[in-house]
Amino acid sequence: MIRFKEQRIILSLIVKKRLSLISLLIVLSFIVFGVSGPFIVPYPEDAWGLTYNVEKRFQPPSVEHPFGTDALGRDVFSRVLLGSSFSLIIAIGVIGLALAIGIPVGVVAGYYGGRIGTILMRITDMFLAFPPLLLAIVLAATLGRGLLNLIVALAISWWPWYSRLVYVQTNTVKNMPYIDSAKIAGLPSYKIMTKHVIPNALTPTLVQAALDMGSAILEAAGLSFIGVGVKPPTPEWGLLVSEGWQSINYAWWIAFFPGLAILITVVGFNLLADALRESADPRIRRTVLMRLGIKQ
Amino acid sequence: MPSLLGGGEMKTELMKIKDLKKYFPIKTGLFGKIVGYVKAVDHVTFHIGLGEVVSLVGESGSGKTTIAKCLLLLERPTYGQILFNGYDITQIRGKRLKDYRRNVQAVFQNPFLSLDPRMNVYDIVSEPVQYHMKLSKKELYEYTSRLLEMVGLDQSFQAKFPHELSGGQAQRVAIARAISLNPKLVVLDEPTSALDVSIQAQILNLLAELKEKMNFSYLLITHDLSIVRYISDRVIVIYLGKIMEEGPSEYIFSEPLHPYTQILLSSIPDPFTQEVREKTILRGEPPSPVNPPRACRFHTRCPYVMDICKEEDPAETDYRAEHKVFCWLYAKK
Amino acid sequence: MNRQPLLQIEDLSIDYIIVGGSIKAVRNVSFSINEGEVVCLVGESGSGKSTIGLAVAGALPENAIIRSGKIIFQGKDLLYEKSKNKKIDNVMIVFQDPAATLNPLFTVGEVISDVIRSHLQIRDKGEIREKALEVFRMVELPDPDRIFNSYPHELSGGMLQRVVIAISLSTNPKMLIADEPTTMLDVTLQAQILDLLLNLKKKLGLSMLFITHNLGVASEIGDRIIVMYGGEIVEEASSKDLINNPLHPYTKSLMECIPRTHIKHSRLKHIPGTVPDLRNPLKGCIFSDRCSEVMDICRVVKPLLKEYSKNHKVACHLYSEEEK
Repeated sequence: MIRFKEQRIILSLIVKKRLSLISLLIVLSFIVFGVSGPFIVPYPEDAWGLTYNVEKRFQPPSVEHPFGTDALGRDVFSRVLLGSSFSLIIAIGVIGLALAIGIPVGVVAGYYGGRIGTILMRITDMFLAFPPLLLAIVLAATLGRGLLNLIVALAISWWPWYSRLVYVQTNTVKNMPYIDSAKIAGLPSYKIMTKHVIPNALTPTLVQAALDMGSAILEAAGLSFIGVGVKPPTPEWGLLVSEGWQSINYAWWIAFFPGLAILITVVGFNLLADALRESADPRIRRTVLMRLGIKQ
Repeated sequence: MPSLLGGGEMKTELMKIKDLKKYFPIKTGLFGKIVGYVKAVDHVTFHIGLGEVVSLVGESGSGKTTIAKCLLLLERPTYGQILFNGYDITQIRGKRLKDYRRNVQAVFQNPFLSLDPRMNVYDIVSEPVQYHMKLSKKELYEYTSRLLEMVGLDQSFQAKFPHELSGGQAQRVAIARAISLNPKLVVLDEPTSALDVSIQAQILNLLAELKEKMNFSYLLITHDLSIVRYISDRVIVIYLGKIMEEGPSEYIFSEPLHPYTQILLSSIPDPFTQEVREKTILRGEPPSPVNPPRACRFHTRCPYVMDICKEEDPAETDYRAEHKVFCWLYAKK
Repeated sequence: MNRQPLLQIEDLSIDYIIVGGSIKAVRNVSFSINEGEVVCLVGESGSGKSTIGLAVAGALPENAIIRSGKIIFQGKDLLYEKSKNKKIDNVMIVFQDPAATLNPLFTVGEVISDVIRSHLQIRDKGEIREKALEVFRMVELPDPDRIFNSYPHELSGGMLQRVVIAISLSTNPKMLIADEPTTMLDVTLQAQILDLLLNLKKKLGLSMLFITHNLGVASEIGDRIIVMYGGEIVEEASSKDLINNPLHPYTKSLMECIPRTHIKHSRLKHIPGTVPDLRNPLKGCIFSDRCSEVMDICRVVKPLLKEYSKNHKVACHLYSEEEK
């Protein structure tokens, strides 16, 4: 009985570690493929969608075309591989832009409070009142198809979440004794803000942002899938799934492989974010240790 | 009898708190209408001598922490003056504020909350120095190492983060930071109540040692009378924002005058006086500082309450030199 | 008079499993509590005192493992009972922070009603309320009716701790485990709560396992004091004996650390060093690396807890030597 329980606990701790290792590998390879994609694709013309080859249509996976070919005879592997570059650009673009708006709004509202804070947070609340995906769809449809428009549409539906999170965190950190301690040391207000408040308030937000990279890829794929995302023949994963969807009955590989790529990437990001949450912030690490029974 | 820490002779006045009041508004509803005030500190007057250790003793809600915050200018007083070397500092800003900060430092209760979790020990201790003194990198390193040495931490601690330290070590880091600017006054806000008994003793000894070396004044804020005796020259007992008794620590412990002081003293569980001590237990809960009792604030719980206590504020009675009590029992008729 | 003790702990060892090893929080601890007796476990953080309390209450965290030992309560092995998922009604626990014990979303009355309903199998609402008000009066809460309908945030710290004690008493327990119940309170409130617990002991014949870091509190409330260090018992004696005649060097230095109010001292004694690392506890005496009277044998052989005089046990080679 006792022996078994012990092993179970150890096992769950190791599995947790393994999972975070695997997730790290997934995310790293996603980034590596994303950066090197354009240079290593076996069929660059196919990947960019510049050519088509009618004789090679609907070929199942083979050594030559490991993921098969699509309705226009293009190599699916090349298109999925280059798709990782587009997903990386979208993820970084959306999250980066959303953080660029959300962080300043949240920090200013949280640190100074008062009337400015109230106004900023009311604006944030207005955006939060819309269902985010719906807002993104409407914006994307209004702006028209295209990579930049897609990024802007998603970022606009996204930033209020960050600004609210940063606001709450800033408010918490502002009242911590170490902020009093910085004031007593005589540090000017801007220094306290940049050196103590922002770094401490941002940790949870940045972890959240890492988690959201996966979701950004997923939502971008969703928008492309319903036709308000990037323009064909851009090899974006959602668009690839959408293109392969019509022939799913006799050429499953066209939609399957880009779909798998989305799945693995999103899961990888989520697991990594969980692992990050536990190790990035020393305070969180402390509470984890305390929960494990170590008094500190 | 001269105390261990103080010089014993009459000291020059470093700080004078005159008629200090701090009221916090209570706001309700959407528009923040003010419906009342928490009278955290009400007409408090006392002084701190140069090189003197003064203890401010009270329970939660007594206003002791608010007084500390006013002295540290983390809160601006509602009314009254705080004179530092003769100048009122309640409204200062800019360069004069920076000067004041250099002279008045603090150590807080929980070092894990008062140290920035993202900074290592070296950065924590050197931060104030870096900002106030123009030192070269090498000088800063030497200065910081010397500070850490003074609080009993060797080189190996410099790169550590607060969460890697024990409670006692973390409090040593906080102390090193507080003394880094060679302050005139260090406010100690419950500096040992988060620590184990054996560690508490280490920290109290360290504080006493540092004071002998650097001769600053301490204002000790605590609810724990047992550490007060060990470290302070003078004790001020407060209850619901008002001073009840003030006197040299010898007298406060050997001959407490105010009924509240007597009860506080008898409430300390002291293993060594278990059999001889007369225990008086204070009944009921402390009243709210929003609507404190009229006249003497202690009259609702005082075992010796008289009619006059409910009607008139007791005046200051000088029982002996430097030993004052605010209680009708001692008022000269 | 050879009564069976109410609670008997035999050779109890508890580990916490963590990443890369285990913390041996409690090692080979044995002691007993008689009916109507208050026993204090005194120690600093990491001494294992709270772990023992949690083990007796059956409230150990997920990653804790009971390596060995028995916890016998009223003749039954609690560890065995618990494995059969039986509820233990006769032992209740009171924690340090009453605010964290009570769910802020429920009124005090709702919480206590739940406890009474599930433990005493009372269904009738009026009867439950009657029982609740009875225990509220027992813990000297003023205006029990009002308190029954209050939310935790409407009550002060001292009142909350009384409420938590009342909830524990509502199941008519034989024993109360109190884990630092006064640590977060002001001294005057602490005195109130200690007085209340002593009264309850007298009135109800309640036994108590009182866990504290404060020797002063322990001497005030305890019939017997057990001093723990690094997961082991180092000394056990009646309160009077322990205070007047401490034997173990750890107990002695712990007493010297306490600032006294009735005399003025020039320097406080303190114990150098820090608490032991319980991932790899020392081979010999657990206190040997901080002990001022350490001998060669202390670093090699672990001293056993032995009777030094009547009802006074100590685990130290200084005394086993004398016996020889």
